[in-house]
Amino acid sequence: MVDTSTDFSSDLFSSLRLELRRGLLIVAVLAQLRREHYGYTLRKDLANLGIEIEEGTLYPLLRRLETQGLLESEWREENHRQKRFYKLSREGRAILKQLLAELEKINSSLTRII
Amino acid sequence: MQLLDRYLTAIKFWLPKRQCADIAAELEANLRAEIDDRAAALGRPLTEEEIAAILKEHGAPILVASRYQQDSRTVTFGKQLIGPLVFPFYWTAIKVTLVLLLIPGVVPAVVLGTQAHGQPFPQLGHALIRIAWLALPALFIVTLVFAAIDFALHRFRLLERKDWDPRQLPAAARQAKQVRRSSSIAGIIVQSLFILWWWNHGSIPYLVVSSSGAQLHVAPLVTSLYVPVLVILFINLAQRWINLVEPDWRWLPPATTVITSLLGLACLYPLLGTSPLISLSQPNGMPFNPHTVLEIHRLLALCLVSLWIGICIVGAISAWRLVAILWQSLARNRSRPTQNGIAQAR
Repeated sequence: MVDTSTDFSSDLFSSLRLELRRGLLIVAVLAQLRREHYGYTLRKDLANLGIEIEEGTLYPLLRRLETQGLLESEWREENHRQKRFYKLSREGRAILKQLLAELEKINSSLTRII
Repeated sequence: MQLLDRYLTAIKFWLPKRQCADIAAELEANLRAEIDDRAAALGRPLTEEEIAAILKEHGAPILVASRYQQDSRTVTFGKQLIGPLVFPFYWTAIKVTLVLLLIPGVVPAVVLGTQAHGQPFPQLGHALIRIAWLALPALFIVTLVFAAIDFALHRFRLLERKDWDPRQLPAAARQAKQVRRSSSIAGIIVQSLFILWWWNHGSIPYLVVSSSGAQLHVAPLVTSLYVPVLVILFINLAQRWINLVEPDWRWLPPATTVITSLLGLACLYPLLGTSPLISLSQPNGMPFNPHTVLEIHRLLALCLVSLWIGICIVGAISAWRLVAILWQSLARNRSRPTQNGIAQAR
């Protein structure tokens, strides 16, 4: 007999983990883009800091954040290749500040609860 | 980097037209940077297998393209029926359906109303009510079809298939010749609406032709075409769906046209010798002007012969296209390079 309860809990964990990570990844990306990056180096730097993010998630996210006015981008040549560099916009800085304050608040509350 | 070009061309096929070039350029820059980075780490250029592994990790073209859809609208009825991934296609289908219903419904009503009474608005009102009655089931069916697609994509995780291989993607030049997605979607909508109309009205043996209640009866032979025409329509619809999933099957549209043309010719052939194809009657029993009836019969015969010739021409052109595609495919297979890159001698 197939044990479906293990599959269910693993699926549930994956879905909850995804939800938990979604908002936090945005904060991480915004924070990392206080310094200019293009897609690939941003992903590499985040991975080096312990935040693995798939390119299929990161690259469209960058475009979405730019559409929302939180990022600015510019095409520029580097090592004989045209690349699109992203950095935090003025509005993005303000939002990031608020998000970090909110995160801090949630974190301290969670610490007390746990 | 031929493999990368093939991969990017496949992604572009699914991207929204407006951002297509920009997204593809950015993806290319990022992927090339990753390939260069790994090559630098290994101290040698990457093999095709290693590049394929990077692309595979990046995701199947349709999945990658779907992540760039910025339209977050959904259709929800209690629970989500159509998600943001399918919504842009659904919305296009809805707009095309409405245009296809509105133009043939409203324009003649306005023209006829202006010509007959000098007042287009009452006719327009009647036309809009008729369109609403036809539009409601049409929109319901379109919604149902797209909800089923959305359900299948999520239930069977069709976009997350791990068994795809970037090396099996067709060459970029060949992909440019693929059956366009927009053409398949437009075809699906047009064929579905036509099927819907034929299903409801195709079997009705007469049509009301004037406000006085005069009726146009068609010959029994014409009404017997109901099922064959339905078969032809379903064959065409199936071809559009198949090409939406397999755009590389360029041979399918001309092959389908050849088959449906032959079927169409076979169906119409008995009508060429049938007379009269229609009969006109008035509710008060008064006969129609014989001259008018004769003119209508002549016009119908001319239309039928023109239709016959038209189908012959379309069928012949499609057969020619089919032969050309198959010939190109055969020629390509003959000159396919071997593993060391030298074409096989035959």
